[in-house]
Amino acid sequence: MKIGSIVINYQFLHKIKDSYVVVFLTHRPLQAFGVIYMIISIILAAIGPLIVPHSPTLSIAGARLLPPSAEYWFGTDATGMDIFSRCICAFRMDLLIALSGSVLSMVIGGPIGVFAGYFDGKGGVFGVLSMLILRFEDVIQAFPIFVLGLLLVAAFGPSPINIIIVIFAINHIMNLRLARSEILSLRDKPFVEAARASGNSELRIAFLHLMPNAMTPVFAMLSLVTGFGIFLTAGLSFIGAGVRAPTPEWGSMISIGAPSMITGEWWPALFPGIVMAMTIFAYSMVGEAITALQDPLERIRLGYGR
Amino acid sequence: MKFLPYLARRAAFFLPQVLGVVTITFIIVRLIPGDPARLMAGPLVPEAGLELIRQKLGLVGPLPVQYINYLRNLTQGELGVSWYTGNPVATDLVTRLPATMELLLLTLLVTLAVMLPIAIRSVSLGKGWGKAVTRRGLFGYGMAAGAFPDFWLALIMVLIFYVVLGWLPAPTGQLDIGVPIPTRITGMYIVDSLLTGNWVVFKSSILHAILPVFVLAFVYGGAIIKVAIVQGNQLQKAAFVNFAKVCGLSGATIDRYITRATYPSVATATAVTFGFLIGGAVLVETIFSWGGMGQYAVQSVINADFAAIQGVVLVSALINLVVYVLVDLVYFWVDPRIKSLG
Repeated sequence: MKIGSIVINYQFLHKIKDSYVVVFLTHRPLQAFGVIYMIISIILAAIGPLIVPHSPTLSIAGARLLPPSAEYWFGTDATGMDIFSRCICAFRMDLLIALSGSVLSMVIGGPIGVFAGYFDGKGGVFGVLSMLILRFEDVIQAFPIFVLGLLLVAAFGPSPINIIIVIFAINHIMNLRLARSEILSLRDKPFVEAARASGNSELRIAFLHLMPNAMTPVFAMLSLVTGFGIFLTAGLSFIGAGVRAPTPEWGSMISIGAPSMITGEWWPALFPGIVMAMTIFAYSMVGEAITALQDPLERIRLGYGR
Repeated sequence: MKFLPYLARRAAFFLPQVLGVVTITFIIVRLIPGDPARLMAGPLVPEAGLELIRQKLGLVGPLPVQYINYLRNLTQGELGVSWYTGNPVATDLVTRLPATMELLLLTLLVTLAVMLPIAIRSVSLGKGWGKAVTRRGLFGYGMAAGAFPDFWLALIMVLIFYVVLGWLPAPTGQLDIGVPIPTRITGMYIVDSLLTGNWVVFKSSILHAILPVFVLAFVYGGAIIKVAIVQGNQLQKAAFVNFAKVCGLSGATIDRYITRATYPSVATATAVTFGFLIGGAVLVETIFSWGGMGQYAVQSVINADFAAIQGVVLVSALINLVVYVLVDLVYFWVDPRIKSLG
């Protein structure tokens, strides 16, 4: 089709419309919601402060605890800050902390899991090392998660960087175990034998030939782990051991709103919680979508490609 | 395998894990910038008093010696003194632990005795609309349970049931103001008032427990329920269920078989959930001013009361490890394969 000098290639649109990802998402509305929400959340994290109607960190004179209205969509809190603007701007802090922690968990936990899995039960220095790693992780897992987070934050002080470290310390175990179990099921496959026969070193086999296979499920878990990270960030901030006001962050906003809840002003605590719950839910749906997209049976179920 | 060798093998894992927990706590405490004696003693002790505390806590000499001192103190139940409450941390924890355990045990009770049977019923074969509604509801619940922040849900529940409806008491602890604390037997108010037949206290403590237990069960029970449903659905296709159907056994009997067969996975899920529950209790206790170990932990973090935090971490990790052992013992009981196959 040709309008003036603009050529629109409909073929291109059809390709998108018929692509498997789109077919999948139109059949799975919850997962589609998750993917769309995630894209929007990342955009908001990037440009949120530029588009919100009020300043997220400054009090508005004479606007203490105003209920939701056309001017203040989610109302204002006890210090007179606009809750809607703060909810939107909080995407930046929460996602930055949670995503950094999860990516760190993935890029460090995953390879350690590959190592621990490949040399599990084998002799030599590497075998012993892999056993030591597993015993160490067992001990870390004995700590109740949030309590360990409290100890670490108490030890190193409440700052975004330290929360990222806490998220890593707690969540990398999930990545590690997943990568390890993947490797355990892969390491006796013929292609490993072939790699060894053609003279690759053990470390090279583990990290060059096996790791790419093991990291796919680990990557699929990234959005789920990010959800946990948001929980932890908000929980620590709620009790004052994380991000501090006036920096917009959902957990600390809920903690500011908690006292007024008892006196009936429900909006300062309600809205940040809803945004946060929707975010965690959406991210877990993205995780399910990634897992389902990798499942060949799902294609058959949706009747795609026949 | 017999029970005793199984127990012995399990115990052989337990002790190194306890040592590991203690060691890691020691390392984290030593990693803190600044003077550990100052951290343990709090800001109120003058410089001259610190030397005494150093001696008392064994914070003298090279690190390995300090580590040995640390272990010796722990075996004697010496966790240091909280500068904020002024009591030994061990004493503080002993008075507060029962309140937290009451919360956790009630949550597990609600999850396993109320929510679990409903979940298992929902996967059974029936087609009626009641089953369909339950199944839908549980599906929605499974989706939602993992997404709601526990501390936020607690606040919303307080808003609905205390502020708006006025059905339940204010979130001011385990008892109404003015209700006397029951004679201490276990330290759990519900149990103690029941044992002494003190109905006023019993009623008050039950009413105060409803919301925190509901919140914890809703948020953290979800994981157990999900495992049970997935397992139940798989078992529907198991050979022994088909056989039972062919034999013409009633749906209720088959339900019972399936319930029994989900126990091992439910036990594992419960153990994992317990670790999360201890953390969840920290936040939920804060909102309900519950006065247990969780609230103590938060108060200690805010006041930089390091001896107290360290005590909470050690005790809760220890409880967690004991729960793992208990679940493994339950496993022995619910999974006959261990007995016959070893």
